[in-house]
Amino acid sequence: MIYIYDGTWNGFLTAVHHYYYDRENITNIESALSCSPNLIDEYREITADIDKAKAVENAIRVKISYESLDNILRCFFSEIAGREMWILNYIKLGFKIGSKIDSMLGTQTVLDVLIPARKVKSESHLMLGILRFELLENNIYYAPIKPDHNIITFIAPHFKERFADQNWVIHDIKRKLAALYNKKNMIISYMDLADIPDRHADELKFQSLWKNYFKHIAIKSRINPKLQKQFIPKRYWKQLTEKN
Amino acid sequence: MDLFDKLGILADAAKYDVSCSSSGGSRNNKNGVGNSHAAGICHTWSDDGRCVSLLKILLSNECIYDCVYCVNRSSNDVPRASFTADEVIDLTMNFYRRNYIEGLFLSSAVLKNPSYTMELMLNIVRRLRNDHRFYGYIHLKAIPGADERLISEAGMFVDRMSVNIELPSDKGLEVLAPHKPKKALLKPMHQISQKIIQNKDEQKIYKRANFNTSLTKRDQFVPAGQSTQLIVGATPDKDLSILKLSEALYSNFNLKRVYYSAYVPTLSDPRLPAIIKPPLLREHRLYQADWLLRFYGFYADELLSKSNPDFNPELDPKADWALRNLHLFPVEINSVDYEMLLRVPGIGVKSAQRIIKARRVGKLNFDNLKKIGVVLKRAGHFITCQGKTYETYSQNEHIVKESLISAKLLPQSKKSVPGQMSLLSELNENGISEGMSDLYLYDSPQNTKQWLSYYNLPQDGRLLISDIHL
Repeated sequence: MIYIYDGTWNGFLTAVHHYYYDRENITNIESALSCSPNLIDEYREITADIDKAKAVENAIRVKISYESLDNILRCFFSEIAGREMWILNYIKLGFKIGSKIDSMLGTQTVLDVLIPARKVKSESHLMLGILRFELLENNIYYAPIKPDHNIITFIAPHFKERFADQNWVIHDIKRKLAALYNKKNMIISYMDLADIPDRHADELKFQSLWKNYFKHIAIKSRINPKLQKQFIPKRYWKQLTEKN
Repeated sequence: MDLFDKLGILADAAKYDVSCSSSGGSRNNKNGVGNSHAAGICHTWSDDGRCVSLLKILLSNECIYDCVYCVNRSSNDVPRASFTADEVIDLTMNFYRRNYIEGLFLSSAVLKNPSYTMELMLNIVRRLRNDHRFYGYIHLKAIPGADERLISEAGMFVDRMSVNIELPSDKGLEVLAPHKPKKALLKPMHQISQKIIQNKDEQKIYKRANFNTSLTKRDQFVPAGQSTQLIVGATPDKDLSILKLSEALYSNFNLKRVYYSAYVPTLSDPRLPAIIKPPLLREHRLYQADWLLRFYGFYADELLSKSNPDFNPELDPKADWALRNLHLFPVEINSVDYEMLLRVPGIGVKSAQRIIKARRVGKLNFDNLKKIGVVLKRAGHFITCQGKTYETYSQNEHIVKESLISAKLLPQSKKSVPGQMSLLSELNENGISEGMSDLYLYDSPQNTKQWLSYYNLPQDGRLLISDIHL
């Protein structure tokens, strides 16, 4: 049996709930967004249920630990293929042994969740630095991003605190996902941001000042592109004002 | 001269200052713009691979001094420029709001006299904090010889202050920086460290009297501490004396960081060494040793001695130390204490902490260690796991040395590069995840063309996607 869920966090947790309560033998949990069914396997479609999802979330927090919940969440949003079963196996082990699981740093089942979680953490941290806002003509700061993992929920709170007095949008163009902030509230949702306004009249001036600064700050006798690429891999350069 | 050219000149003039860090202090946003994270954030990496976190500029490069090693010396024929206060503020605010930078690092050549320069700088930081409600990171250079009161006042507005010690010995200073005797450099450092201690004591008293600690935060003096920088390779000083100096600075002046900058030959002068390439490997070794002093519990005397005053170019200082102390190894991973664990080559702070955590719940074997992130190619020579040795284990000094050298000669991985990356884990562990629970993605994919209306309608309370006219 293969469970198909709608691709959301709540949908996934609902599938975990069904696994425990329906006692079916499952071989995989797959997102409807990426699944291509075949004729041999048996499928069951799981409808997201917020109460069931909250119950599972709560059980992880109480029976395992907050740290585990945090790692599972990050692992889920890594969007790495196969993560659903890694998480399920982790939860199964966690329910058996409790918070001890957080210390088992050399065990494969644990690492299957921990390594994607670390990737999400490090990309989130990198993005706090390399995200670039452009000022639009209607005084909204707009930042397009294309992260490897689905990190918008992890980074948006940082910008809400830091740029509390300005309007901004963070737009994950790969996933059609955006965080909007209007100096009071923030929402994060899947949305298609059409008709993005033109740039503010001053925007290009500051971009060229920044590019000029960036060019001058490097010491010629120490040029080291390999090192630079290690820190910001090339796939991020397109969104980087000073590099595009 | 327009702003574009000025920025080029004054960034050029500031780039030999190494410090880029924006870490060490945390400042909250109080109805303005900006805050700072204890762990620091790098915003980009320049073409030389150095992290850029702050807008690092000189207020002016029109210097009255003539220090031989410095590009801004008065006798050097370079274009000169000075920013106005408004220009610095405008650049800082606009760069910050676009998330280019974590804050401002303002330094300056000495214009007219030290106090005059300090006053100009003080004016800028005061206006940033008071008029523009800027709570991002500010690192300010203290100008040696400036009035003490100016330095004290500036310290109340900034996160970090630094005085560059420039050269590791008095003799070097005498020859290369005749206007800056070491005493004059140490005086403001001493003053800043005293003020930090005094301010901390006052805070304690204040805290005891009032339980509301958030009130006290506003009045912290240089909350992210002070740092300094010295140039390596412009004078004949040995690594030992440099490291001893750093050790003394850390213990006597409570410095947060000592930065080392490989001497970059920008000028020719008979008093300067004739080199073509900056001594980057030597700089790298000094940073490695500096890390060992600050995070690994090593002393300078353990790493170098009078008979062995310079670092081994082939081996990093920790591996070099371990080779000279083979009699202390192998250690048993499942029982050795944390301090000794840190001394094993191939085990860093992160993996040592993971080992301590993991062995509480079960005995570890080599496979576990590998998964934890231990570099067994190196560590394998110095450890046992449940009494067993690693496949390449040998007690022969020459074999171990050979294999350590072939394992890694030059900095390659992120870990070995000095900078802020090492702090990354701190931030991650403390989490940016606060308040996550109400931020989960809304469940079903939505489509909205009228997203801009979100910015026009004043809203109270939590807004749902359905409120904004799908």
